[in-house]
Amino acid sequence: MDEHPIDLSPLDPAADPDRWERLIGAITKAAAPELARRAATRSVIAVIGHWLRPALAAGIVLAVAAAATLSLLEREVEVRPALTAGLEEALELGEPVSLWLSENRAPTTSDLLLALEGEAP
Amino acid sequence: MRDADARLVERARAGEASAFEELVRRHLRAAYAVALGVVREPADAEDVCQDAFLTALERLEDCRRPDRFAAWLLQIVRNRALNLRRAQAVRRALPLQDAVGVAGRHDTGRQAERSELRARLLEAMEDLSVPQREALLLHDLEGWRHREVAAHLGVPESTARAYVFQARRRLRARLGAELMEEG
Repeated sequence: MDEHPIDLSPLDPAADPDRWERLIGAITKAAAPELARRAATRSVIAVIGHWLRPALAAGIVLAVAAAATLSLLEREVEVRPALTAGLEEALELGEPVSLWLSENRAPTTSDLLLALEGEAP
Repeated sequence: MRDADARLVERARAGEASAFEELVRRHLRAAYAVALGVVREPADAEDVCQDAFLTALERLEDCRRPDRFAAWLLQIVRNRALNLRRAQAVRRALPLQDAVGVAGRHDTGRQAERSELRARLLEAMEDLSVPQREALLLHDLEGWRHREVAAHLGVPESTARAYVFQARRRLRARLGAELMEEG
């Protein structure tokens, strides 16, 4: 095998340091707008990131509070019909009055007539 | 080296100019060697390098292995160089001798001698295939090992070794003994 390197130093781009530095300078100068764009984007992300944790914490607290409130309200709604049923018994209301209450509706004229007939001796 | 590259890539992604410049300084020589191996004209190789570094910066998020930034960058360099060469083939650019002649008018003494040697080397390298030129430049100019050249070219180490061997033999046959030096 041909193991002796060839002297390629005439092709060495850094042999002319001024030209080499100019090339590096040209590349970094041309890259400046993209680097600036990246730096700006990163700073926006950093600001958002800075606010994100407290905002997330506050959001979680609000969500928990809302869930708890909703849960309490639902429980109250479930309890109300039972209270109504208890009321009928407490007032010793017979049919059809207790039926109107359980159906949660206003009595019609015929309902009223029927009720009066029922109470008549 | 690789860890340092990974950190520099991370900082460059954040827009840190000093990190990007450090990446340029670390890898410009290898990039230049690869570009020169394809385009064969120093000024074109410089253009390719500039273009490739800017492309790399714009696509830095695509570099999935920042610790292997060099390999990724050199692929970009090679593709850009091949694109330029195709475009030049279409445009029928100036012959190398003419271009060197224009650039050499301002040279004096040692610079002129160096320009002459460079022109002869570049002319002789036209006989080589692109992989042979890349392998020779990376090995004999940049000091890469056969293993590293092979990894860059995506060939077995024995093939990279053969590329370097064939390139040297052809260059020697073309240039004669005056440019040779034992390493």
